[in-house]
Amino acid sequence: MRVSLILLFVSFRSISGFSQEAEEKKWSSDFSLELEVENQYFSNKGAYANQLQNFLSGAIKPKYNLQSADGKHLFKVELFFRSSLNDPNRTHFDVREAYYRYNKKSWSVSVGFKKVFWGVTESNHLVDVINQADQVESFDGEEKLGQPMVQFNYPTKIGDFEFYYLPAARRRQFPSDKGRYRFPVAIAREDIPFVNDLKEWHPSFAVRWSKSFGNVDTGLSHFYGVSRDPLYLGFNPATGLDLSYPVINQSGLNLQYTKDAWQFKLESIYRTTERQSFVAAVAGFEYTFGNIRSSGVDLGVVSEYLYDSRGLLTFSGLDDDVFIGARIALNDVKSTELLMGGIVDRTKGTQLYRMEGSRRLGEAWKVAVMANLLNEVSPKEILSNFRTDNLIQLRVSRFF
Amino acid sequence: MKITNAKLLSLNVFLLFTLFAMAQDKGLEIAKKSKEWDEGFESAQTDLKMILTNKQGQTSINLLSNKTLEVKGDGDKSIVEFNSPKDVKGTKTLTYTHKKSDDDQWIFLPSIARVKRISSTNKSGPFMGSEFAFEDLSSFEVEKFTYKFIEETTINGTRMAVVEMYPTDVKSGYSKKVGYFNLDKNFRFEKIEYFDRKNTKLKTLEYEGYKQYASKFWRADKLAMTNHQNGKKTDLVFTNYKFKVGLSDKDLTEESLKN
Repeated sequence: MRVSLILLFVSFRSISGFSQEAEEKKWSSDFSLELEVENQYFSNKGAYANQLQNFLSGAIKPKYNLQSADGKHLFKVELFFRSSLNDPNRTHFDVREAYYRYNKKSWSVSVGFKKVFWGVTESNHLVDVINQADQVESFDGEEKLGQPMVQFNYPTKIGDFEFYYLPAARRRQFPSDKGRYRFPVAIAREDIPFVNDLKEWHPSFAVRWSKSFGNVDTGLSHFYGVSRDPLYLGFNPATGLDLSYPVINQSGLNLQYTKDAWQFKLESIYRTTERQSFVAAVAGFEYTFGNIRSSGVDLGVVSEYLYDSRGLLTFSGLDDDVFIGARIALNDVKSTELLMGGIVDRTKGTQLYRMEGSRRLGEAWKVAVMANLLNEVSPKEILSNFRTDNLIQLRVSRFF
Repeated sequence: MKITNAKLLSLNVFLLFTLFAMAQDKGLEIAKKSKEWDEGFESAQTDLKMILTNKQGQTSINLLSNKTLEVKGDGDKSIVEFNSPKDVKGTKTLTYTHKKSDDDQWIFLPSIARVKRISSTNKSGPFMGSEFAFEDLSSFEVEKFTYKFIEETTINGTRMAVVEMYPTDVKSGYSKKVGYFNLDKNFRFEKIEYFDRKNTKLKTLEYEGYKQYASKFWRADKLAMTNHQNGKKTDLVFTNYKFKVGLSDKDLTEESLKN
């Protein structure tokens, strides 16, 4: 947090320092803001003491861009603040992005907090390893914390190269004892130790190569440094869950083949640490039925198989699972969308279901509903800690 | 006598085929000229305002901006950025149009900083709930149609060539389009009529407020699309047209979407 505030301050100073030049050099800037109210309702009582059933919160998401007319200089700031009336750990502030990017003809460099996404699959993001998950914001790990970095992009004829220096690692936050999706003993952020001498200041490095060959998109990546997701080595009667942030080496591959309405996707990683090494993969397809009966409606069908050689020690629980999902877009003026999906463990039988719907109201409002259901959770699975946590969530946003 | 009849018949058939082939050639010739006049712009950018009007007369507005790079020997590359509605602000699409194969297309989702390759086969679907289908907005490529010249006519004192255009792509939502090319002004489009797969008239697109840029390229200030079947209308209003803006291949890549 200390780092984030300093960097934020520095980038704001740089922006105000440039404001005078703005008129002469024709800088263009842009500010936007989202205000959101959210209610989460869990239909069952919690499995553990103190857990609540209803959670009300609000979020503020401002964004600011400043760009020079020649496209050489770019400043970008995106902040996030959520205040929860019910779970103190969900009340949190984050610098999602606050960086300066310098673009040259043949390369570019970014310095500051940034979000980086790698990968192609839908149900699990194995290759994506740069940012820590904002676990209290979303249980599925889709939301990310900003990552301080120096990023160097070098596009060439033989593909795009990205190099990363990541000076610090960030810990994952978990719900408080009042919250849901938690373990029997609520984990505090500081409970999970870094396994290295420099703690969060242990630097990480990453490199990625990506290239499109017509219908085929490929990417190869390697990450060395502090693991973003905790290493989980089972239950220890003395200390509870055996969790830590070790130093890891992770190699990743992503592949996508797009032909007509078909997309075939593959992601795979190999990760080694001192105490564990494993391989994991996601492979599947997506098929889109476009403009069904000239109604404008699109239906996308997705299916993926998820594998992780850690088995029961897979922290996400996705070790031998099949995902089936559907995406419906009405393509209407209100951008109405519906997503449905289920993940079923092939051997243990655990089922996870998700439904999401969203629609614009008027020009500047949006309403989004989501339901998360767990069914027949095997007691062997780490997910069994959340067996009573069926969620219905409503979000209403106003955009400025 | 019978032989003569047969000869006459075959001569007629031959004439018909010749006329048909001539109509094809003439149609193709016009389409080619229209495209040729538009070549050499190198790169261009513009802001767009999309005004959607439903049957009851209620309107909603989308704001977009577009960058296009001309590619020699193939279709153009372009980036469309969404500025309004605000909930999709910052979303961008990148399209590599191809003359003969399917286009390559990517979408950038700013909330998760993800660039996603998407299938480009859904050409007939509506763009952002408007009366423009994706295929109506992609760059005009001669190779994507076969042609039939219908007639030369004068509308409001302007000489126009009426040409039927048949999409070669089976995934197109149209059986044919009827193009009105202005013979006095570099073969620019003045009007296009769209016929659905049942060969019923579906939409009419009218080009309004033409201006000439870089003393060569004609661009309309407004494209007005009327759907005759559902009574809806979409106006596409262009502002800030700029030509030869110095874009290169590196400005239209997956990486460039993230900035």
